[in-house]
Amino acid sequence: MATAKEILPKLLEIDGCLGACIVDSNSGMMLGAIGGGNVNLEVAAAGNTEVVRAKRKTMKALNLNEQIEDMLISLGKQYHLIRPLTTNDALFIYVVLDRARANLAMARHILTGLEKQLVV
Amino acid sequence: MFHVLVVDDDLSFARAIEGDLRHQGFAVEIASDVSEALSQARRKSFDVLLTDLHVGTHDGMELLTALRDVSPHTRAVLMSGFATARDYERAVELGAVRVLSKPFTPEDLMQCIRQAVDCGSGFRGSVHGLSLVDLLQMYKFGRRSVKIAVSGRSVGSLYMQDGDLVHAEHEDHTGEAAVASLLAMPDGTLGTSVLPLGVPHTISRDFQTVLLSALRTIDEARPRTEVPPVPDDDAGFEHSLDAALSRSQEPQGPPPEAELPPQERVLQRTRQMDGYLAGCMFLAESGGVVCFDGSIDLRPAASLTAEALRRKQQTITDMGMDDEAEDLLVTCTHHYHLLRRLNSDIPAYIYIVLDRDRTNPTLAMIELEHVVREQTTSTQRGE
Repeated sequence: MATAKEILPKLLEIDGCLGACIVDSNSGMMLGAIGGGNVNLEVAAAGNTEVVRAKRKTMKALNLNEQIEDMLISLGKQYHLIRPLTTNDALFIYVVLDRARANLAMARHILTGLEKQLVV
Repeated sequence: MFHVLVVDDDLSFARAIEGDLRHQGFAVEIASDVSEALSQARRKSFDVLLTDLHVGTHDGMELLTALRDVSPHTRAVLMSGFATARDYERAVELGAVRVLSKPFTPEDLMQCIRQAVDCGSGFRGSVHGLSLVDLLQMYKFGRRSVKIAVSGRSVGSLYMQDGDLVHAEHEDHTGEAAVASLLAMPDGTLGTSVLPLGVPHTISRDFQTVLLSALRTIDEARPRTEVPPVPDDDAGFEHSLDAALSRSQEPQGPPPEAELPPQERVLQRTRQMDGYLAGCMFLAESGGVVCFDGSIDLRPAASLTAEALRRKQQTITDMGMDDEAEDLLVTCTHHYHLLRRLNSDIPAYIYIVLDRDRTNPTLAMIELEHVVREQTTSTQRGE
């Protein structure tokens, strides 16, 4: 088990990681963030909250009784990974990866492992 | 620079090896007996230890055993002119990367040392149940340079450099034809080794294109009953979106396949993807459904999904990034939801749902990208 403070530096160690944050999808506010550089994580947190909400509405509309485990959005230069916490689906981890440097399979694997350890 | 420790009581032989390795840019030290070798390994970190099976009165195996405690990260290579099968087995059990049979050429030596260096991180061992496609994708993502030797009904090899397929050989085939014939083998065994020097480059297209082309060749060679031929008389994709949209205002289910308009040809192609359950195409702005298909009615999801994508694009813009979302993969408990932007005049997306138990999501993303690219190309050609 690990706190957000302990998990965030580990997220930044993922190859190609530009920044990461833990977001409360009820408010769109960040519980913690690390890295970022040119990436405005605060804006990203709020914006991606809307993405997660809209996708959840989609699942409901389809009457598919299942949970979102993760979302991967491929941009031209980046990957954005969103992973709701299994223990509290109001929260999600958001990771921005440099597409040229990231190993996507490894990043998803590490993110899954860290998400399971996270206690908020 | 990589550091190699050569252990042999025949100093002239050890010096010859030292010369070869230094010439290739390795830092080399020599030890003439086991205790000296262990003493050096305690003092300094070596990437590779190259030892003879018999060093003076000692057994090279003793050195391998002791090395595991003294310098566990050092990869060992055993040299021998008369190693038995049992020696091979023991050497591998003790962590040796290779047993190099004497006499050997400088090229053999270099390949062996490079393999040992390459094993400097990660795991080694035996695996089973992997498909060749799985393995290729792993090496692709790891951007590795390896030779994959495949043995099944016949033998062949695939060569990857920095994660890209550069060469393949199988029976009389080379290049992409060999990739296709190797992937068509239903089972067999495989082994990896370091990429040899001077491998010819018979494959020039990118990894994804080569893989998909090979898989399509295999697929087309199979007898087919369920999918009828597609008519050739369509007038292009983007120009017919509006017409298709107006047709979809009163949804009546998928039309007969024999009358497929071009955009539905894209859906027809996705229908052949492993694990396919349902698909639809919708306009990015309005969420209006252009066409749909499959066991899950995706029409109620189209406008909500369009909203999710608009939100994402807005977020990207708000973040000050000059970029666009190309595709979106949502992993759910039982399904994958995969969306990809179409390269059409009217902004539109294709949305497919795949059974998670029967889908390789990476391959699905590559395949969908290819389907969209192919549709764009055929539209540009006016087919």
